[in-house]
Amino acid sequence: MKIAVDTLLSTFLEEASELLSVIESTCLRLEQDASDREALSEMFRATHSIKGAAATLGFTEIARLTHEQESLLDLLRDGARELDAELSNLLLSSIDFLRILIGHARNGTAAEPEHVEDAIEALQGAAAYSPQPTDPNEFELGAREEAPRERLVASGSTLRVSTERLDQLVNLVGELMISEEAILQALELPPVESQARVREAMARMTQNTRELQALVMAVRMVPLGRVFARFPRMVRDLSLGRRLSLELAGEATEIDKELIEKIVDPLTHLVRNAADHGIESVEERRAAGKAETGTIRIAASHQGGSVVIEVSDDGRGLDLERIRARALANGLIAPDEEVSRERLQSLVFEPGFSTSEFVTDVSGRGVGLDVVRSNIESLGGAVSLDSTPGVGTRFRVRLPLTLAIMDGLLLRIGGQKYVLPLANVVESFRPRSEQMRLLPSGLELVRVRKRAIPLVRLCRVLNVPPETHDATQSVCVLLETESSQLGLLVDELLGQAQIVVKSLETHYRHADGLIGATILGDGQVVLILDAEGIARLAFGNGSPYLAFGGELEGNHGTDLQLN
Amino acid sequence: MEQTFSSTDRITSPLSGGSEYLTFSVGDEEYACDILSVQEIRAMTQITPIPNAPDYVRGVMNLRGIVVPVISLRAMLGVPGPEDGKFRVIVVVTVGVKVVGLLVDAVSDVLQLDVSELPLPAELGGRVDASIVSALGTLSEDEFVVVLDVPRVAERAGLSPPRTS
Repeated sequence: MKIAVDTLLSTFLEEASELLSVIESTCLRLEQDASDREALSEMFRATHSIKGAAATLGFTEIARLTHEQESLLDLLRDGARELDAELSNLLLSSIDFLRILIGHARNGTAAEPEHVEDAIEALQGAAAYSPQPTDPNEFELGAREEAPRERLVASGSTLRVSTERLDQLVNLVGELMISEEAILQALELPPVESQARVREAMARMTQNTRELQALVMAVRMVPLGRVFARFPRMVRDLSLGRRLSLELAGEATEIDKELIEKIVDPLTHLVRNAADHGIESVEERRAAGKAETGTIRIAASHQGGSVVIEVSDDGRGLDLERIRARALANGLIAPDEEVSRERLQSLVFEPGFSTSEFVTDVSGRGVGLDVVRSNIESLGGAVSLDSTPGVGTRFRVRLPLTLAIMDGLLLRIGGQKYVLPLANVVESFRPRSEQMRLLPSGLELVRVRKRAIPLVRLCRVLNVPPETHDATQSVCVLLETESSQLGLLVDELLGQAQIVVKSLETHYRHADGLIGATILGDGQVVLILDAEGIARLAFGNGSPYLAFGGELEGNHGTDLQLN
Repeated sequence: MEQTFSSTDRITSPLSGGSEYLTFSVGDEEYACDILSVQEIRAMTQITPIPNAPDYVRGVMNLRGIVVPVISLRAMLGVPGPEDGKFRVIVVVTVGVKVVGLLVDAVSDVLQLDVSELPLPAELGGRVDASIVSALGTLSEDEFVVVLDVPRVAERAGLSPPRTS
C-alpha cells in the first residue's frame, strides 16, 4: 500500500505543479483580456482538479486554499466581479503560496498555520468584495512563509512520454528480438550457409540498434516551451512602472531534458536582464521616439546540430563608453588601445562586469553575465551578444541538442587520446611552413584561404609533451566557436566516432578546457575537449581576442602579407 | 535508488570498543580509513590523466562505465619515491554521492581499531598534513596507524561538493 500512496503522491505533486502553471498563464491571459471566457473556464477547471486531488490525499491546506480561490473564480464567471489589477495580484500571489504549500507536501513539512489562515482570509475578503482599495502588501499572501528547502536527495525526476513513442519503442525492441532469434538460428546451420545468414541478421540488428538509439534519444527530448512558460509571469512582475510585452517563438523546439533543467537559470538571468536593465521607462522611450511598450523576444530554433535561443530587447542597448572605462580600470585594455565594438561588447561576459552598470544606474544584482557564460559553457554551449545603442540588445545562446551523445573527432597528442566535438570542427589540414607566421607577441597565425587564424598548440594548452614541435609534421584542426575561429595543432587524427558523454562533475569536478569524458570500445577513458574552453586557456582568462585582440583585428579578414 | 555512504554513517559494533578500518600502506607508513566508506578494491588499471590537474589527481578511470577520479595518496601525503610497487591497488571510496579511487601501495588488513582523537604526536605532525587525518589508531604498544579523513581527502583533491538537487 505504501508504494501505491507514494505513486499517488508523486503524481499529485507533478500534476499540481503543472496545473499551477496553467492557472498562472490563464490568469495572465485574463489580465490581457478580461472577457476571455475560455481562459476563465480553464483556470476554474485546473483549480478544481488541484482541490479534488489535494482533498483525496489529505492536504487540507491546499484543498482549503484552492476552494477559496474557486469561490473567487466563481464570482468572476458569474460576472459578479471583474478581474482588476488587485484581484489578479491576489490570485497570482495565491498561486505562489500554493507552490510553497506543494513544496511542503513534497518535503513532508508544514507551513505556518497562521500564514495559511491569513491567506485564506485574504481570499475570502476579496470574495466578499471590498470596494475600498486595500494595502497592496496584503496581497502578498504568505509572503512571510519561506519556501521549504529542496530535499538533498533528488526525488527521482520523471518524464512524460507519449504513448505513440512508447509503442514505437516496444515495436523496435520486438524487431531486435527477432533479429536475435534469426542469428541464433543461423548459427545452427552448416558453417558455409551460417556465415552469410548471420551477417545478414547482424546488419538488420545494427539497423535496429541505431533506430532504437535515435528513438530513446527522442524520448529524452522535451519542448523548450516548458522553460518559456515561466517568463510571461516574470516579465509581468518586472514591468513595474514600465510597459513590457513578451514575444515567444519556437516553443516547440525540442532539447534534451537534462539540458532543459540546466538552461532555466541562465535564460532567466538573460530575460531578467533585458526586463530590468534593457528596457527604458515609458518617458524615456517616448522621448527617444520609440513605442511606449518595450518588447522582449525569446526565440528558439534548431540550427544544424544545435539549438539556438535568442533573447532580445528593443531597449537602450549597452553603453560602450562605460564598458571601455570599466575595462580600463580593470586593466583589460590599454589606455591608447583601439578596441572594436565586438570586443567591447564581449567584455560584459568577463568577471567583474555587470550590464546594469552600463545601461542604467540601478544597482547591480550581484550576479554577472560571467556566471551565465560559465553555466552555458559547462553545458557545451556558447553565448554571444550584439547590441546597438538606442535600438536594443540581442543575446544568442547556442546549445547542443543533447548532452548524452555526440559526434566526436578522435585525435592524439603525445601518448594521449582526446575527442573534439565534431560540431566545432570546420576542416583539418597539414600546415605548410609558408602558411604560418609568428607575430612579435608570440602569437602564431595560420593562413587559411586568405584569412589569418590564430594557431593554438594543444600540447601547450594541456601541458602534455607532443610528438613533434614541427607544425608541418602535425595536423591543424580548424575549430569554430561562437566567438572565434582557431587552428588547433595536434599530432594525429584517429577518426570519427559517436561517443556517449559522461560528465566529469559527477564524481570529480569541472575542469577547464574539458566538456567531460567518454569510454571507448576497449574500455579506455578519453577526455572530451571543449573548443570554447581551449580558446580561453590559450588566450588567457578573458575572451579569445582579449590577449591578442589588437593584433588580430589588424590582420583579421585581410590578405596577410606573408614573406 | 543509489546507495550512498559517508563517514557519518559509522556503525559501532556493540561488542567491541572501536569500529572496523581498512589499513593500507603508502611508502613505509601504515594508513587506515573507515571500512564503511570503502566501496571496493580494484586492481591497478589504465588511468587517463587530466590536463592541468594537481599532481595528486592522477586522472580518471573506468569503473564499470562510470568515470571516476583517481587520487594518489603517495603524492597527496608527500611520500617520496616512485609509484610502481607491484601490489598497487585502487581503494574505491564513496564520499556522499561521489565515488573516488585512492591509489595506495598495498592493502594490508581489515582491523578493529581503538582510535584516539587529535592532536597528532609531534614526531608525526611534521610528516603528515594534519588536515586530512581524522585520528590515530593504536595497533600495539608502540605501533599506530594514521586514520585518514576520507571526505577531507576528497575535498583536498578538489572534488566539487555533491550536488544538492
